[in-house]
Amino acid sequence: MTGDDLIIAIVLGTLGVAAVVHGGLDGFGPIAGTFGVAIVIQRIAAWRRRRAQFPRAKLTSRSEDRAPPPGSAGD
Amino acid sequence: MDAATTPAVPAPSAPAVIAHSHHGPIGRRALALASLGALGVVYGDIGTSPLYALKECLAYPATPHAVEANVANVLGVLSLVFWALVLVVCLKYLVFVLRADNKGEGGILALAALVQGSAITTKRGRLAIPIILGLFGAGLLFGDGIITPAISVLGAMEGLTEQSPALTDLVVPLTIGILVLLFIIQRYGTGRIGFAFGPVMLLWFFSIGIIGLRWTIERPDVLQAIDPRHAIAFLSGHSTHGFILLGLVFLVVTGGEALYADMGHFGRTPIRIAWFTVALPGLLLCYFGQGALLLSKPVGTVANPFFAMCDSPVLLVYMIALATAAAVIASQALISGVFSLTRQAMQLGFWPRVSVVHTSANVEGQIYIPEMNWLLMAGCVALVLQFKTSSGLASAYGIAVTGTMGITTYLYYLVCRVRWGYSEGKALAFLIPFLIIDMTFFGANAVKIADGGWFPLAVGTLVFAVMTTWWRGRMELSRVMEAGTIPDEVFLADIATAPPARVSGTAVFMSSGGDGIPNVLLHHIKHNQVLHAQNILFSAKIEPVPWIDTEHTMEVRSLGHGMYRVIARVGFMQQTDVPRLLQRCSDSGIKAERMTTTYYLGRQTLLTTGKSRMARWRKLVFSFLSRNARSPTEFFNLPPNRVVELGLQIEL
Repeated sequence: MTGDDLIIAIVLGTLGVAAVVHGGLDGFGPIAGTFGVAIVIQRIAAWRRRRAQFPRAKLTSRSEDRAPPPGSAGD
Repeated sequence: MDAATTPAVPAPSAPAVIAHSHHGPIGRRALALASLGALGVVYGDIGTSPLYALKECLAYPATPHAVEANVANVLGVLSLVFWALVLVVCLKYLVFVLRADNKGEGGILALAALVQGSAITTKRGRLAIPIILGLFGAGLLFGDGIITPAISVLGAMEGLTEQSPALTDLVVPLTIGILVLLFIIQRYGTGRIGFAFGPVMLLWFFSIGIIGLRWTIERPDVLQAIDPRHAIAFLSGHSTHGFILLGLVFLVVTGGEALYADMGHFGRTPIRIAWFTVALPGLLLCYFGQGALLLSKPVGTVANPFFAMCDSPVLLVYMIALATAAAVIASQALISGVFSLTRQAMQLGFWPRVSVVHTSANVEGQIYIPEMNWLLMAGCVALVLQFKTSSGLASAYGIAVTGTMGITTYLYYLVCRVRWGYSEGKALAFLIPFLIIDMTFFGANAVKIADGGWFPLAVGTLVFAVMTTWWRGRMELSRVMEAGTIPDEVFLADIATAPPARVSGTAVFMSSGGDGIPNVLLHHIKHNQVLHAQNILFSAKIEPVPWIDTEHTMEVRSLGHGMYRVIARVGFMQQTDVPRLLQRCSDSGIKAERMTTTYYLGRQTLLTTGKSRMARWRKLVFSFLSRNARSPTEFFNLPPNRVVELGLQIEL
């Protein structure tokens, strides 16, 4: 175990003991939930940005943008 | 805590003249401007502590841990406040710690780097203890830092309750509205309004000082609190409760780390001048004034001593508005501080690459980091919604910053020993008394862990885990990559005996080490079987010093066969602008014109099934962080249309 692992273990252990002694940590659920929602929103925003950056991926899924089949009027 | 939170905070209010470190003697006008700038950035957090600190200690029964505001208690608490400011801020930070600058920069990361010099690892390749402590301190500052905007703005808005109890329901929505607005405007930068921060804070300190003076004149006996015997008597008379109260008294110095964190932007002299001429007198008068007010009113009738000092409706409205402005400035300093700290950690290789948006064309330090901005906003809003009052948040505030202050004390001791060659006795003479103070405050705050103190500890530990995991992951990745590389001589001999086809132009291969052919070049030649006329193996070494004159530290070696190795050394406060750095190598025969240069990067897909020494949870976290990190294209400021990425699968 390295020094950084030890520090993480000590803090988590302390928080665990405090939670057991106190019967939970005040506000843990709502605060963790808000963070979770924020991260989900952020991931969706990032995904939308990526979609906007690569519009071709979107275009190929639309039938009117596909190349015309051989022998058709566009050939 | 405010900008505090960070080793070097961009100075939103700093005029251009002080936008970068200035460490030589400066003129009187520039000194005055720098001192004014320091007031706006450095003292925002410590300056807004009067909104809630004394209330938590003495507004019985309105706040949960307060004691009755009788003469002995008021004098005892005021004495603790006075001596906390004198010992922690004046003596520890302004007299001692400010002397430990790392090429002009301050803050816990810079201090840790100062202890270690350029060697941040041990001989066994592990992070050195001072660096681990510095990273943990920085992580804790992140944790406490999220609380600063929430508690400051809530504290200011609670003045509305004093105006009319019917307005109490508006406190939380208004606080959230102000915070959300503050985070939304971050993307536009604060350069345009930053010039007003210093004058507003000057007005704030002046106003709270005058109001406090008025009440102090009515009850001048509060000045007896300067006698430390009142503090001792209070602590000995209240045993356990006195110890708990010490954690609340600490609220008056939570912004103390800011003095040191912002040294790079303002220099130590302006920070000292601003403190001793404006901030300290204003704060002391305000705290003594609140004490005098509590002594003047019947016990138990004052719920908010700060706003209760404003005994006319007009004055109250004025102070609510000014307090809101001061709280926003304190929050801004914190937000800018987090951006700055994130960037430094990223440059030093302790944080995944995130997008950094420069909001000012003139001041390099003014940046905006969207990911951190939205996470901070989520944290602040969650805290306000959960705790609802500054009293609730006071339980969460303080523990992390006491930890950081203790680490700063220890690192300063190491600097005394390692850098300045102090004798053990002389260095211990600093360490022992200040560590006792820090640990006493830490212990007093530790009893609040379950009440909310868990939050900064959890955030700090999460940040610390991310930093150490990212660093370790990169080290392991480099090790694996280096194992797959071949020495320069072997490669050069190969291309001499079997010359590949050549195409015109320049290819730049980014390389993490200073020796050996990077995997991406080997993949390129294996699959494309071609080399450019000129090939550059480019390594950027981010050194643990803030600024480096890159002009004179570029290392260019011609390897023959149109191959060059370029090693650039960059400070952790500087941006690694590869195209610009390459242009500086033109004297060495390197041609890196924008339209004929291609940058080759490796895009690694990490598999966690390998035999590296990392714990499995760290591998998974590192893999997740790698997938979500911003592209090196942005980090190295490469032109996106000149970049080719080659995929590599790597087992960690």
